[in-house]
Amino acid sequence: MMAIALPMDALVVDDERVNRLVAGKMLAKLGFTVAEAEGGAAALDLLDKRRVSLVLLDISMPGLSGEDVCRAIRERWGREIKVVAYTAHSMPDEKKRFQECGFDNLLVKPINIGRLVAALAEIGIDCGSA
Amino acid sequence: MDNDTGGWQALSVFLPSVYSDLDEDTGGGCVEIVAAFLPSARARCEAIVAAIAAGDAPELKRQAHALKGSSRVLGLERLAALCERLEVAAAEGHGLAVWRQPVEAEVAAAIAALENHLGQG
Repeated sequence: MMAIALPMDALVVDDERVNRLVAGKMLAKLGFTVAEAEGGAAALDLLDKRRVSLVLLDISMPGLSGEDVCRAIRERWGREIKVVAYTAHSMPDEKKRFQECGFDNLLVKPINIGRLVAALAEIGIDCGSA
Repeated sequence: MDNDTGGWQALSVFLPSVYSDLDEDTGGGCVEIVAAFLPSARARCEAIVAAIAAGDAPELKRQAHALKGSSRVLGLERLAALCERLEVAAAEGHGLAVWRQPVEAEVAAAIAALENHLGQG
């Protein structure tokens, strides 16, 4: 897999602001330009107006779930956007279900910057020595 | 009272090492993260109490799951473990009323610990 170089635009989608801030600040520290959305519908609206390269997507949200949003992203934009499930769900059967929905990878909360960098490296995003 | 399953009471209210690691990983972002956590935790506590009163197990599970995640990332180990136990109680769907007082007490303890830590900084 060819490594994708920074800088990149990222979108963090989570109904809990604490989780958006945590992931957003880590991504910003790594050199990403970060946007936030507090729900699935807002995320899809934002993606219509502003394309990003990476989406960190919570699963358990009111309204559209993360799985619904991932399916919608794949229908509209194919595989051009990397989508990572950002979730406290980590059961083996759930990981398989996320892959079937079209997620590129899984990042289990609580996160730290090392695990974030590793999860991005697994999908070809090289954060260098940040 | 059947709320001691899982041993959450034996855990620390607050782990400063988790907090300081998060602060480093977020480029000194913890003050802003805590500022977001405090009103969120209070609101989710109220929502949990309301869900318990209404016997609304799905809403209880959703709120407890969200509070578990935001508290764990800040090093609020005991509140996170209690929320995990609440998720189990919600899935079981009975005996929910016993959890009201522990939730209110642990949210208050977690907020006090964070405010105390920030005050020391």
